[in-house]
Amino acid sequence: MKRPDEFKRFLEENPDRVRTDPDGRGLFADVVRRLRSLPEPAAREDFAARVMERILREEAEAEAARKRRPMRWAVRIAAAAAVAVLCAAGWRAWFGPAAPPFAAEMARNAAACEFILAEQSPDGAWRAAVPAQDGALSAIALMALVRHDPDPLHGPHADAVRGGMDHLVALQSRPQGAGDSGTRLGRSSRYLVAMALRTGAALPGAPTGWRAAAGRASQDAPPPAEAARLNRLLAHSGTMPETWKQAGGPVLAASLALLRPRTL
Amino acid sequence: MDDEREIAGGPEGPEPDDHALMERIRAGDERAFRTLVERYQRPLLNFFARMGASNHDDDLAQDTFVRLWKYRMKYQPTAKFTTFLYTLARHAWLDHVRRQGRFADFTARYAEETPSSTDGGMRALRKGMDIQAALDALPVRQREVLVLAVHQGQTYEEISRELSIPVGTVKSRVFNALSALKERFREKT
Repeated sequence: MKRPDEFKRFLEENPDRVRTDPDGRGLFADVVRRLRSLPEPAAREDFAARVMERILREEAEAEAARKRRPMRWAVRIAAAAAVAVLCAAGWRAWFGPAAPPFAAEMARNAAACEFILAEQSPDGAWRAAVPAQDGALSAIALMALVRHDPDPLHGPHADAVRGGMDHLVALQSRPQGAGDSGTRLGRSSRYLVAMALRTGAALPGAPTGWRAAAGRASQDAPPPAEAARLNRLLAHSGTMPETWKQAGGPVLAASLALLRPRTL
Repeated sequence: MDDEREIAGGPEGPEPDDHALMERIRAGDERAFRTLVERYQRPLLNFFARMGASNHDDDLAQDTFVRLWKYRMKYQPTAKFTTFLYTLARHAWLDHVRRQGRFADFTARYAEETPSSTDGGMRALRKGMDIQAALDALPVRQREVLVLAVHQGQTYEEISRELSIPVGTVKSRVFNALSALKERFREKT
């Protein structure tokens, strides 16, 4: 209960600081005297020199750290650049075009064309392992050559194209569309031959006989579902039946590679 | 010798005051800094010893002067130099307390500010055997104002600026600290 009064008296007696009151006046004079009786620590030798030594040491360390800082930034920037390059490469590999670089694809296409040209028979046909497939293989090879020649009737593939077209026109005119070996053409083969005839007939300067043959071939068009299936097989050779691949051999593989949706 | 006399004010000249020394220190004068270090070495050692860090008083005093050199450009001669110096000393001491892993104990004591906490302080005081032990047992907030007021001779106004608390709070903390110590000493006698 006396504390508020004591505090008030304390404030009156200590307007600015705790008085030391050598004569013992004041509420806490004895306490203050006891506190001040505690021995003061002695001054240390070379204290100022040690302080200066420490300052110089810390400043040297700070300077060294400052010099290291640009190097750390260089390392960080290099690491960030490396990560960016890796991300870009990953993005390209994952989402980029699956096709090989242009130069390699051009070389491969040229090699495929040369191979197909070399495999053509003197009568303009391409022979399959199964004779019944000669017409289909010739049609596919012909379409591949036409596609990879800017001017199919006058360019490097002109002779092969003309020979192939003449062979297909002759094939069409045989009784019931029979093959060279006398085997009847299947429905798929007739459709492929019709596609090739229409391709050749559409070329600028195509002979009248080709256009007439293409007109006749329109009756060989299969039902729409079958036509769509054959178109898919031509565009995606991986889905082609194994028997077809074996019958067509390397000429079929090269031709399908040339007919694939191209990047060039 | 001429330089030394200039710094020290010469055999007959007055001692340069703290503000004048700090002006020279701001310009990078190491001799002026050494003079200031010699002048306040013992008061700082005493401050840290009374704050319960007698085993580390030398390190902490050094740390305070290193900070003084580092922050010399921030010194403004608008207040008393010791206000600036003891603010740096208090920060050095707080960092020391944290480093010592006693921060939990420190914060617990720091929270003791209500009248009932004085009773807790009284219980702790009974364990003390001498004056320093009684001082150490005070709540930290009371101890620091008492050390600054009694041992460093700071006015309440200066302590108020250093701790950023009202003058009335300084007075009440000093009163509570002295009351606790008086009770402790009465019990002992």
